[in-house]
Amino acid sequence: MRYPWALAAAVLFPAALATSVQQLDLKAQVQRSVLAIVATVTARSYQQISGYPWTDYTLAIQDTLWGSASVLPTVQGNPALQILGGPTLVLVGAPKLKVNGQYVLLLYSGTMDDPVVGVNQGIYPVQGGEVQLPSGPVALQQFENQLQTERSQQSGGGS
Amino acid sequence: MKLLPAALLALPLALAAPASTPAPVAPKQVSVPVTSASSQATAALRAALKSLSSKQLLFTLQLEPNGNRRFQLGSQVPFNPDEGSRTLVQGPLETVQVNPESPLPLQEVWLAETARLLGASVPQILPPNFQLSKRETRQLGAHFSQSADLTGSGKVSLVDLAILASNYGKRGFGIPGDLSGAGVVNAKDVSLFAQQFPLIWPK
Repeated sequence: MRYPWALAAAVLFPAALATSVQQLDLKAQVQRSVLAIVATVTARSYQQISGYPWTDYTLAIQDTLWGSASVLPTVQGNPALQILGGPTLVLVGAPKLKVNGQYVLLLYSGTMDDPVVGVNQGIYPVQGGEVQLPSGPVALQQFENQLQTERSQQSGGGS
Repeated sequence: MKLLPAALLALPLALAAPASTPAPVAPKQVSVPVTSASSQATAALRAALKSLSSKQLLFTLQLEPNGNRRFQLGSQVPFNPDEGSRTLVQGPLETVQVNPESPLPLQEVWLAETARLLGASVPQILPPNFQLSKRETRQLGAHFSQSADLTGSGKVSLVDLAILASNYGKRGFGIPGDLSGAGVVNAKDVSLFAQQFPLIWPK
């Protein structure tokens, strides 16, 4: 075995409970999302709703690929991504966004623990104008075009 | 007619003798401490533990009224539609909430969560038709049967020793290296390990 320590590390963490999610490829993420935006996180704050802590990521939206940002909750008049959990409660596997970080977000609408399609699969960080995909970085504009093309194909050629 | 050797004549009798078969060994029973919020969750956990049991190991549910590992079906907070289950951690309390409208088969979700409870490494994104691999099943079996083969590789190696060493002193249920099942990795486990992996230096 070439890297025995990698195997050791994989089994070092005892009884780690987690979150179980179905796998969604990009095509399925596009199909399921009701809102697709390019946005920068401007602030992170917490609030208590119905006895649960929630994290609000306030967003500055640069581009809306489809849908309407009006479906998002607002914090001081600005759209926000609201995810269950806070300093005293952790939702295992929930996305953690960086303040000042830019992202392409594929989202559901409505109240739920995490509105990101695929829990954290529909989040694509942007760095230096490039989207960080598992296959490698792609120019943001190119990725937006790819999403738009996929969306229009799914809707039968319309925009 | 030639006379057959006595040993050959005795062979059919020996093969047919029921006394020569080894007596069946009772499986080792492992009680899994869990707090369950409903009869549905309890039944699902029992079924999953049964499917993870083997001839050598029998996992049984040990219900605790106020334990730190809680399982429930459904929740007040709506689920993301792609979630089969979610885990909320609040201090020492871990609550697994299974989505009643899971897009994944509920049986597979309960299996995944129960396997995680036993210490198996199960990815967050569940593959279609999820079930534990043979290796992971072997690993679980080894872990709970005092076997020092903690990785389930089929042999005891220095990697297994490294795992035990890393967890030395840790307490809890299902910690890799807790060969004695005492709920802590300590000198007794090192002793059990040494019996299966004698440190003999090559000449």
